[in-house]
Amino acid sequence: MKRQHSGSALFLLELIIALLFFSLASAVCVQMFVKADTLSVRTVDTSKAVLLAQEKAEEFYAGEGVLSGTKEYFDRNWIRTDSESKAVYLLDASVSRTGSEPGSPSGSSAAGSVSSGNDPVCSITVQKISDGSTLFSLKVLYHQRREAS
Amino acid sequence: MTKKPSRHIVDILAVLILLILFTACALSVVLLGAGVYQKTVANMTGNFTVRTSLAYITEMVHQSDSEGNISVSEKDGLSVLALQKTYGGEAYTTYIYAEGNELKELTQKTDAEFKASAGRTIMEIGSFSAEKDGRLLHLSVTDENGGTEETSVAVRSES
Amino acid sequence: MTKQRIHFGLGITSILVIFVILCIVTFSVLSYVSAKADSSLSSKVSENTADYYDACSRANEKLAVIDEKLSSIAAACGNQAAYFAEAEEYFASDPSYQQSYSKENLAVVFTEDLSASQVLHVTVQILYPGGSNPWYYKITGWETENVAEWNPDNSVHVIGG
Repeated sequence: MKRQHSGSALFLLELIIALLFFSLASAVCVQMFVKADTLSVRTVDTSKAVLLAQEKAEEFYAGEGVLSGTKEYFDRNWIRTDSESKAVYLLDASVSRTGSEPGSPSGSSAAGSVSSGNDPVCSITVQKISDGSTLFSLKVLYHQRREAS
Repeated sequence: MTKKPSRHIVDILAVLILLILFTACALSVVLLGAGVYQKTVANMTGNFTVRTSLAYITEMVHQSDSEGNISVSEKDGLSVLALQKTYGGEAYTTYIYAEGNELKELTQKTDAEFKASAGRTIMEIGSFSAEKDGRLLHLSVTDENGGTEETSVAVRSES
Repeated sequence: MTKQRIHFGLGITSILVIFVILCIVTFSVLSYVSAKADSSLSSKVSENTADYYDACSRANEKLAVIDEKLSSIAAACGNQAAYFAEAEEYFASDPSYQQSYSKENLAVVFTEDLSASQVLHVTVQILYPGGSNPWYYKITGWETENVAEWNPDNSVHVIGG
C-alpha cells in the first residue's frame, strides 16, 4: 500500500517540480516571443515607410518642387486605400516655403537665409494611425532655379 | 479493503490528467514558438529580398547620375536599367536586369553587345522591372513569394 | 519480503520537460536574434536614406547660393565673356568649389558629406542666360561616392566544396 502511494506521490512530486521549471522557462521565453514578433512587425513597417517616403521625396525632386497628393492612406497590408476607416498607416507630405520656416532642413548652414526664401521644403511623415507613432520622416529642400529677367 | 482499488484508480487518473494537461501546455508553447520563429524568418526573408535589392539598385543609380546617362530599355525581352559612366576616357555601361530568378549586373563597354547570360548574379529575386517617366525612374522588385515592392528615383542631372 | 515495484512512469516527465524547455529556449533565442538583426539592418537603411536626403537638402542650399551669386554677376556684367570671367574668379576664390572645363564650358564641383563613408558630388555647369536658356546653371552630375577604405576579398577559390 505504502509503496503504491509513494509511487504516485513521487511521480506527482516530479511532475510538480517539472511544472515549476517549465513555467519559469516559458514565462521568459513567451516574453521573448512577443518581443521578437513586435520587433519583426516594426521592422517590416519601417522598411515600407522608408520606401514610401523615398518615393515621395523623389517625386518632389522630379517635379522640381511641386508635389501632387498630400495624404495617402494604407491598410494593414500596406496597400493604398481611399477608405480612412480601413486605414492603419498614413503618409503625409506637405510642401511649404523656406520663407515661412524659421530654419533650413539641416538647420546648420546660413545659406538658407541667402536664398530668396521661396524654395519649397517638403516634409514627409509616415505614421501609424492607431498610436500616432512616426515610422519614418524626411524633410527635403529643393532649390528652384531663378530665371534671368 | 474494497475502497483501495477505487482510490488507486482515482489516484492514477488525477496524476494522468495532470500529466496530459502539462503535456498539452508544453506542446502549445512549443508550437507557439515555432509559429513565431517561422513568421519572423518569413518577414526577414521577404524584407531582405526587396529591401536589399531596391537599396542596391537605388545606390547604383545615385552613384551614376551624371549627364543624364540613365536609361531604361528592353533587351532580349528583359527590362534593363542602363547606367553609363566614363572611365579613363572610355564609355562604359552598367546594365541591371533580372534573368530567371536572379538580379544581375553587367558592366561592359557601351558599344559592346549585350548578353544577358554574361551578367554577374547579385541576388535571387522573383522579377525586376524599370520604367522611366520623364525624370522619374520607377523601379519594381518582386521576391520569390510574390511580394512586390516599388520605389522611385529622380534623375537629377541633365545632359 | 518487500516487493520492489518499478514505477515505469518515473522520469518521463523530466525527459519531457527537458525537451520542451530546450525547444522553447532555442526558438525564442533564434526568433529574437533574427528579429534584432533584421531590425538593425533596417535601421541602417533608414539612417542612410535620411543622411542622403539631408545631404541633398544641403546641396540645394548651396545651389541657391550659387544661383544668387550668378544672378548678381549677370546683372553687373554686360556680356558673356565678363560674366564667365567674373564667375570663374568667384569660384576660384572659394576652396569648397573645384572648377573644371568640360565641353569648353565652365563647370564647378562641390561636395557634401553624406555619412562617415559616403560623400555627394554635385557638378554644375555655368550657363549664360539668353536665347532659349533662362538659367544661370544646370546640374550635370549628382553622384554619391564611397570614401571609406574597403579591403576586398581577393582570395581565389581553389577547390569547390
